[in-house]
Amino acid sequence: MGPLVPFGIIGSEFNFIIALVLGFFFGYILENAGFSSSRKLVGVFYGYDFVVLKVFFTAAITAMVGLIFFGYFGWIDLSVVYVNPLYLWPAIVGGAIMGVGFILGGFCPGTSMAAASIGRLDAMIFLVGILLGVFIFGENFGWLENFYTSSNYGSVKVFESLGISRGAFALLIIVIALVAFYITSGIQNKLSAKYATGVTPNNKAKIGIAVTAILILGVIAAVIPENKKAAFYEISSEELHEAMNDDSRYAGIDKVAFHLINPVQSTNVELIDVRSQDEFNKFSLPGAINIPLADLSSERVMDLLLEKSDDKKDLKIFYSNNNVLADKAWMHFRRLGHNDFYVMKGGLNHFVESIFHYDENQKPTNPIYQQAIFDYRFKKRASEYFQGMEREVKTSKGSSAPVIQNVEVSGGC
Amino acid sequence: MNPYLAGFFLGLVLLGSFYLSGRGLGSSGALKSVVVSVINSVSPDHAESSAFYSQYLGNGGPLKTWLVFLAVGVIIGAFFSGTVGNRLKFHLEKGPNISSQTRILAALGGGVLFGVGAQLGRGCTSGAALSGMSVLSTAGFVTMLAIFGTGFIVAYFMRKLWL
Repeated sequence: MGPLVPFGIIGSEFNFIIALVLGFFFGYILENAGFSSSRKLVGVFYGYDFVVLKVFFTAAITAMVGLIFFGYFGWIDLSVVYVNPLYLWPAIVGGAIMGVGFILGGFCPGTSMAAASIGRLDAMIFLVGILLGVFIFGENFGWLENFYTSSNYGSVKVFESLGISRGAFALLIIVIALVAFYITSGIQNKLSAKYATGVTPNNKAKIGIAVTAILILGVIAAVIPENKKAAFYEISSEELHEAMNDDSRYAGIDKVAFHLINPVQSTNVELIDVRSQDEFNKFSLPGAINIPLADLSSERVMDLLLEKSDDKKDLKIFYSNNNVLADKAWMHFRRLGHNDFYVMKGGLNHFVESIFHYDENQKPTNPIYQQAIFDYRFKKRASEYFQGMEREVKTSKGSSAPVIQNVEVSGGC
Repeated sequence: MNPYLAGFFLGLVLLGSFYLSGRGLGSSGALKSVVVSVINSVSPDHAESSAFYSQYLGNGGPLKTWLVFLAVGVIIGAFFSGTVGNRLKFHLEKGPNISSQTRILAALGGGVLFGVGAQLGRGCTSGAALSGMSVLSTAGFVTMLAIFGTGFIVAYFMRKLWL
């Protein structure tokens, strides 16, 4: 599952080679599309050549729709893909400055690099200008910093702000782009003769096929569910209250112990330690994964836990030292509508108390209490099983259990 | 190349970038790395003490970043395309009614503005607007609208440069 480098499927040593290859195609396409000509580029602002608009929007739509399908088929984890954060006013002011720079200079940074490499002198000068601009910004960062970090809205997505699905928004953009392409080609036909920069004529049949195809893809993108999370719902506070008073969320320690003794027969159990990483490293149940309570609501962890919940056999048990933290974790997911999480009753304290330090003298003698005798036998066996393990776990420093690593992707221009 | 086809291929490259590395394409970041590395070699103290430059010093030097390698690829790819299409030529392109001197000053000024704007806007046309729009980030759309919106407004006043 992608993205491949952040997930370690491709080693990070290949990252730079990947960048080089992607850059090659990026540069090749820019140059080949005519982006090495400043007059052609600014044509979009004067109506005689809309190549920028066409390439820009077609590329954005292709990647946008592609990402939706990749996400749907589970090829890429969209929560790991870098989403540039919104600093509203810096983005508006910065964008406006770039807009003026575009008209004045006739390039943007990517296109100027492509143009400079084939010998366009104006592009080389433009590049020098950019370097100067970055330097000026850097030297004035002191008093600009407050503004630079103002109005931060985080990595918001536009469809979330509008309250519609990712796919529906993509379809909307496709329709807008198609209308824009249609209108601008009309304008271009009128003006290109006057200020001609060499416009490729369009083949109507091919355009027809392409428009139909992208519209079909757009409609499919709008219809398919965005991802698994979209299907869940939040339960009402009454339901939550009711569930809280019900003990059905508790998985007895015997169940957990049984799983630990017979890992092969009960592969469907997942133990989740919600204590801090320090506590987890000191002592934890074998095979448990550590997700500190504070990290539970992160998108990445949610995806990881919920992905597994698709498999109905899975029994996910939270545990902490007692019930408190584990109950909180359980509540977090119950509130989101998930009912396949459990809490290890009494937590580790109870587990250690009744399994590790099992008192032989508590053996029930009355045969009427068959269940109690069964419990006793099991606990005795579990106790024997764990006697060795307890020492081993306590003395070993690190834990062999997998710890969830945060995958971080940085981005930017 | 037909612009729509070019856009489609560019979109595939962008998609490949997201799939492989988890991020989009960008251009201005590499230029920032160049500036930071020059400053770092001229005056390491200055680079170290600046809240802006110091965040890009990183391990392995400011030039050993993903975006720099991407930019090197862009230069090679564009050069390759220009060679194949027989477009390699030193040439100052300008509007028909301005002098070369005006064009040079305008190109320099435009570059300066783009350099400042791309820092403030956290990315340029490719990194912030194009890549941002692909992941449907609000920042991508805001930046795109700001760049092109302003462009259309000021285009009229600067028409002498190009028409």
